[in-house]
Amino acid sequence: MAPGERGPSQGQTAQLVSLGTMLFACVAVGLAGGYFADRWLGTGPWLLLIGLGFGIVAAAVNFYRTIKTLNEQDRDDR
Amino acid sequence: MIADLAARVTWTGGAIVAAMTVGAGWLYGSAAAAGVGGGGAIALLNFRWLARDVSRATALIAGGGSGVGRIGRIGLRQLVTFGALGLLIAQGWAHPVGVRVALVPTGSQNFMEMVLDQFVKELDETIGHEGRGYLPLIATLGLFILTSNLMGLIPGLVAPTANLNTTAACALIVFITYHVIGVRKQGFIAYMKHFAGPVPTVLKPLMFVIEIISHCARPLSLSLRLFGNMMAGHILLAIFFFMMGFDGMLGWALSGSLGGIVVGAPAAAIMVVFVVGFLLPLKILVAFIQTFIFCKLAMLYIAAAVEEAEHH
Repeated sequence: MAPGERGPSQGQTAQLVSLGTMLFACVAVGLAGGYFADRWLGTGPWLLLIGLGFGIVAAAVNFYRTIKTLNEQDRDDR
Repeated sequence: MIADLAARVTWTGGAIVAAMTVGAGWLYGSAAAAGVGGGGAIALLNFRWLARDVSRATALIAGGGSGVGRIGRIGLRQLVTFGALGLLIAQGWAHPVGVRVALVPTGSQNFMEMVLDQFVKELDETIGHEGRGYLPLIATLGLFILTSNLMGLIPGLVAPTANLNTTAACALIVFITYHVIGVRKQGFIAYMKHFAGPVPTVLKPLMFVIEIISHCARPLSLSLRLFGNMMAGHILLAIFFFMMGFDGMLGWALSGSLGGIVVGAPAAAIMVVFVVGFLLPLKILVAFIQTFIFCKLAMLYIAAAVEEAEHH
């Protein structure tokens, strides 16, 4: 890191660390929701697949939002 | 046979607890007597529960069953006992009565005020001025988790946070609390509306589902992160000592053969130095960092639930 530069603050670090597990947790929740909805309604693999898709999209949206907020905070600080 | 032993221990333990209660009451007054009596009763009940499960498990195994479920319950019992112990320790060094609060702070009170000041600073920074109202929740969670994490460093104690049940309980408390706070701040309908977010009307139902999924993922990721980090430390140490052959090297060195002295002793020494000099400091660091991350994320979630009221 260059001398004039600042690293992320502690709060930002916490958010950055949370990104990794958040990706996994979103996909897992979507998948589990689809699986149990399938078991409940008996509709083949379809709800499972839809749930998986939603989970992946939710993970991506979360990731994007967190990075966006952190970038904005960075720009405000500068 | 176990039942006989358990009954004898219970009677003896009851007598000892009664004697200690009387002694504490005589020396320190009725409050101390109540504390000692209550603690002794809890310990005895725990012991009774444990003994019952052990005797049933042994009966099952003797009868040809597997008894795995019973042993799992014994593990749970142990977890609850150590969790309660963690709470007690946290109270001992953090509770106003335990610290003996005075106007002129001394010793541990100084330390506690420093710690709580840090919590207040973080809350002000994250939530804003009204964030101080959530200090009891966040500080209690933080101190409990920190004590539990550090308990894992003491041989013989079990870190309650190295079990998914404890971390899931903490994460669910955070989850329910921030939703309740959000609903109370802005009403149920407005809070639900916010889930749809600032997107075109066509995308709103889609966004709603995605938001629900990501909100449900929050307690999962909170609990998994804490549990995973704590468990990883234990597994790392276990692998180091049992799978990389520390005991074998030590045994080889102690056997007195030439190879043991030349190879085994230095290897065992290097392992001990590595564990004490690197792994244990790493575990302490992880214990603090994970506590901080848990608290900070809980604050951020509460902040998100509170802030939304001001924007709309």
